[in-house]
Amino acid sequence: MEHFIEVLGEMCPIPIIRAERALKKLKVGEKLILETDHSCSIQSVTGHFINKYGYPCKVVEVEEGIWQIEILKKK
Amino acid sequence: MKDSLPKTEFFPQKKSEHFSLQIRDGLLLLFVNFLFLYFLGRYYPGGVLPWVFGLLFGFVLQRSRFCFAASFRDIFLIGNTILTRAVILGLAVTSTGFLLLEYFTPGQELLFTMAKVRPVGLFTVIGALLFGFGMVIAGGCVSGMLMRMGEGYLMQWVCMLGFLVGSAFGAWQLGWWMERFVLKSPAVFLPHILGWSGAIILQLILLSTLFVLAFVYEKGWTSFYTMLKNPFAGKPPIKILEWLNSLKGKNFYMLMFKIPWPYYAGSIILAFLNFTLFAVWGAPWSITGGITYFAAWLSTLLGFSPEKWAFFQKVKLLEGNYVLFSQVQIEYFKFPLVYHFMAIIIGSLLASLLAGEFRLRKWRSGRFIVSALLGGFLMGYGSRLALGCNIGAFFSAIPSLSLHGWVFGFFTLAGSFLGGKVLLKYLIT
Repeated sequence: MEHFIEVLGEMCPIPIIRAERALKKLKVGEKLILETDHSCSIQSVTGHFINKYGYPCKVVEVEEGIWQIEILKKK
Repeated sequence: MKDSLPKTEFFPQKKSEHFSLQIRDGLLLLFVNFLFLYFLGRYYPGGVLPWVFGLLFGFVLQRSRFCFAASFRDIFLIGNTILTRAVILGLAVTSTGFLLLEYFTPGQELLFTMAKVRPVGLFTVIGALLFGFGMVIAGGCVSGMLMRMGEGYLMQWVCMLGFLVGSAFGAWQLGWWMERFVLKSPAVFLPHILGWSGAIILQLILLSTLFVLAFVYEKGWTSFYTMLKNPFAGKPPIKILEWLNSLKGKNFYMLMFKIPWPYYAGSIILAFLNFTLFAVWGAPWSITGGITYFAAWLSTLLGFSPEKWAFFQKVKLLEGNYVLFSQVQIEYFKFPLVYHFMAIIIGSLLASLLAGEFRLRKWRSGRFIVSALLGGFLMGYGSRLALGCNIGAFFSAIPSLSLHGWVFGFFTLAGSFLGGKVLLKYLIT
């Protein structure tokens, strides 16, 4: 299952906090897609979930300055 | 500890195949910059170097997403200390660089007065608390605000409004603080107390202790021991190799202008730039003074007279007492740092265009307008009170071996803790 949250226009670090809260509700093996226009996110969100949780992340720039970050809840 | 961490896959599809048209605009902007520099050189040559360094700082800040606010705030808000550690590393590198510079320059005393050694006292504490609180609710410190203004974040333009007002108010009100506190407080230059070697050794011990604490705070003692026992298993050297490996197959454009630089790379480049600025310009990196001059110029348009504000007055020693002297006229656009903060915005805009990721980004909720205005005001006022922001009174002050940098850093941390509480309570919907 893929879940989607959109955090356009949120200031840092709210995208990370909202992603953390959303991921807590997901089952292992499910994916969260986070849509953000915060340029720091592609570094800070991925770094946070990879290093702290060990969740693999994928980043796609869907439009100029808008990214979708796919986070897999691995365990 | 896991042997290898999962990797981020960057831009596997869509936009990466074709170049963005914004790159053309970026190149155009670069050209306009050269033209501007030519005319600036004829009008006011002293502005050229701050402008060039502003572009470089803005570019590096945007490329590495370097965020001083996060290095304080993320400790409390998300338990992440990667930026904290990057800032500490940057401070250690800058400290060593400044020390070499000060030690090997003839007439060190002169150079030390050029460095960021400033009085420390109650005003530092209050200023830093306000500043730390403000930067969390505004979504970025001063360098972060300028960087995001360049990237098109409208919230940070609102924050700048608040900052201008706060900075002008602080410059006007500084007289009250100066008479009671600032002029009576000493500037504590650590080598004068501990000697050069004592000061730098203490400094590096403090910084490494903080680095270890930040590491342990995030990952726990177990990971720390594992890392100590076997530092080469999956830790820095291997990680750098892994990182280099992951860059294979990416072209030069992607590496330089598209994929964010690692935080550590950002902090080392900022440290190097700061050192170079000190060496060629004679003073380390600072920002807020320029914004205050600009705010004062704006206020003359509204009919105020900033010549009477304490910030713009000269301090003179008269019969054992410090007295403030009014300047007859201030030349607002013949102050070098006025060009510096503008250039940071342009440098970040340039980086953002070359990456093809510029866009006008609107705030999500009206609350952010309030928090940006208020946070900007508090940062503006706090930075005047503390005699600098987290650049001049922290990132340049600690390496200048001045006590006020440490005091500013500690109380900014406390202020950002309080700001984090407010953010969690009122700003998350």
